[in-house]
Amino acid sequence: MEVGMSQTVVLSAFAGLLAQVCEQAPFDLRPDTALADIPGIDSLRLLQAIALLEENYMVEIMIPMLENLYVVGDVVDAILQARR
Amino acid sequence: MVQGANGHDAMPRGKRCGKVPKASPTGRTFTDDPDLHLLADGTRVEPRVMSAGRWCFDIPPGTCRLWLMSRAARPAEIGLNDDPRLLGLCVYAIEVQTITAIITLKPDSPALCEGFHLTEQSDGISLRWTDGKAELPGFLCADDNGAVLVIIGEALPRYHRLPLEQTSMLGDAFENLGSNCDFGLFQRHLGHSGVVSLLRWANINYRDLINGLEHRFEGLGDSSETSLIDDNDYRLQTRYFRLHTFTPVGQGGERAEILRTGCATLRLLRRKLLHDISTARRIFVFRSPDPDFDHAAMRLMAHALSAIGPAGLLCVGLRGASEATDRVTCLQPGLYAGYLSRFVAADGPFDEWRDVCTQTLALAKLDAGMERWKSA
Repeated sequence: MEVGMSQTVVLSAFAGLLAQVCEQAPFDLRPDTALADIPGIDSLRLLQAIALLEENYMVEIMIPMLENLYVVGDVVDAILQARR
Repeated sequence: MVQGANGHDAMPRGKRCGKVPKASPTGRTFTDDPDLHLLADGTRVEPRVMSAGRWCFDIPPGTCRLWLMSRAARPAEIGLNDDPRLLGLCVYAIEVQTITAIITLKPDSPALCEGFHLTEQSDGISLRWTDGKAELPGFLCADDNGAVLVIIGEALPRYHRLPLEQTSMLGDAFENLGSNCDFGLFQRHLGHSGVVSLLRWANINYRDLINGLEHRFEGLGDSSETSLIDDNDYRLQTRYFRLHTFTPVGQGGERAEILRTGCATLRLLRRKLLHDISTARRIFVFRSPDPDFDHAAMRLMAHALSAIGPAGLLCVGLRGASEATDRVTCLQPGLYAGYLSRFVAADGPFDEWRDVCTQTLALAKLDAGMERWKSA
């Protein structure tokens, strides 16, 4: 079921999925949190979380954005700008 | 905010600049150190004093040619903004103090040419970006008693950690098509964590790769075609290859959830691979120890790749020391065969991979030049 797509909602969903794929306690993420600073993260875990976000929101992010993700807000923006 | 000459925000503020990432999990490693130094007749000179936005250097007596050197990066490639220019240091003023005089150069001085971008304005202040290697005018360094050079400027919030020619040319120019981690180890050696790619984690032989390319990896990520295999870690078995999840068996939650995550990731990575081939920003690298992976097989692979997009292909295999010594040969435009005498361990040596990649880039540039010549 599609859920609302505000920045806050996507951020919260992303935090939950990251915690799941990184096998960590829930994260307190802000838009300016550097992805590299998230405990347990690597490129595969990040992709897994993004892929699950895509699936949850039934969107496909624009592929060029994948290589320009530096902070949590970049991922949220990518989802909000994604194709439905 | 500093506005670039072409309208780009050269020094963006806001969330991206609030914190300098150590690395992007999807790409390269970064530093906020511009590594500003001089090159005085070929000798490196470190700054004697550094404070916020101010670097002081002692120019050796009798210096003839002086270069202002730094790391450089393209903001569009490091997530700052869409400025495609290669930027080193933003210079607000250059001052030289000798025993007898103080010379001040403003950014719009016509004496600043080689290695300087055009003069720009920001909030009424003139500035000028270097491209990482800017020549300073001869009259600044001709004093036999030496002089003190003061640079007043501002660095980018981040740079690639390693010199541009290593990270950008060798790390960014290639994308891994498999069949195992050799090439990834080489990229890591360069300080580049490797382009995120479908086949970066996959064990795939050349026949299955050709088959996958011919079918554009159709069905990849479909739950009906994917199963979970127990090994040291869970692995995803697909029609084309088997992929590590790097989740140890017994961990990572329910099997169904691991499979769902794996399928979603495969679908995303498939889209990325097809996009990357079609945009042809990088040369794809496939490494195989299989002696059957000969030139005919390489051409088949290139044909399958070209049906998707115009990306180049570097096929790397082993060759005995007694065979011809050329590391790379061009089999046809956009298809290169590279040879190593041995594959590498985690700690190298990487000299042969470096040679293969460097020579391939040179051949690819030649190819591109020929294409431009033909179209002209």
